[in-house]
Amino acid sequence: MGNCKNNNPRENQHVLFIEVETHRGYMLRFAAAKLRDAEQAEEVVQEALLAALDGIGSFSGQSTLRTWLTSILKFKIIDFQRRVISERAHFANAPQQDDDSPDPEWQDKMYDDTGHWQPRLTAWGNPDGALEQKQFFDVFERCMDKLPDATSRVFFKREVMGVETDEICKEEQISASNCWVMLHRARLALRECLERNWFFGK
Amino acid sequence: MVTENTQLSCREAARLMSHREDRVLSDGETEELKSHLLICLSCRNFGEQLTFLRRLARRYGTDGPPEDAPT
Ligand SMILES: [Zn+2]
Repeated sequence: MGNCKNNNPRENQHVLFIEVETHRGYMLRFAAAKLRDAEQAEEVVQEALLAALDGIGSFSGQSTLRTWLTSILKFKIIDFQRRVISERAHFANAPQQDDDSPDPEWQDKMYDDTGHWQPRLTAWGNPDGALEQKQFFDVFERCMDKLPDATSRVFFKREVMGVETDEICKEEQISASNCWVMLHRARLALRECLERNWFFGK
Repeated sequence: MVTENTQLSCREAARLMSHREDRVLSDGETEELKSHLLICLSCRNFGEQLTFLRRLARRYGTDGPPEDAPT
């Protein structure tokens, strides 16, 4: 621990510490998408946050804080995976449940007998404005949390992390077509959830 | 939509619009989708919502939510 000089950089650091904490929820979701295990995710995020606080002086402000934290988290996740692999050399990875099942019922309900939207889809009012509101992101998180685990992970990797589909298939041990189906389901469900809880529900 | 024998249903069009973000569509698929979108406002709205969802997810993964507005 340093001494208690009361200069500005220190104050700034304090503000950063508090701010770092606000990204914990996001980091947990990120880690859970990679590790598939909430407890492990918790552990890794804790490590990453400690490392971040330790190295906060090296945060230059050139990227956003979230991007910076994510890069630390990525290292920690890789590190963790290496450790786990060497610890239990033969930990069988349960193959991901296949998702070639027919469309779930909630999906059928969105269309009429001829396969057209019911009700019709109307444009959302001021979506750009929604991006400026913190509460909207809370709704988004809650909507993601409602997805089935595997679907949520695949969506998170594809759309939030921007991972290519082939890589996701490999990690998740699913076929490409499964992957596309899951992504489509995720998008349909999220679209509906955002509409109900934000655009039309407010 | 009551247009006579429009090849694609909205359900299929929506699937293609989603897949379009993850893989290259075949020429046939692209054509079918294009002609469906010409006549279907709902699906055009869906397309815009998909684009928005993608922006939202990217924003979520980079900047994160905006600061709370001071009250
Ligand atoms: Zn349509």
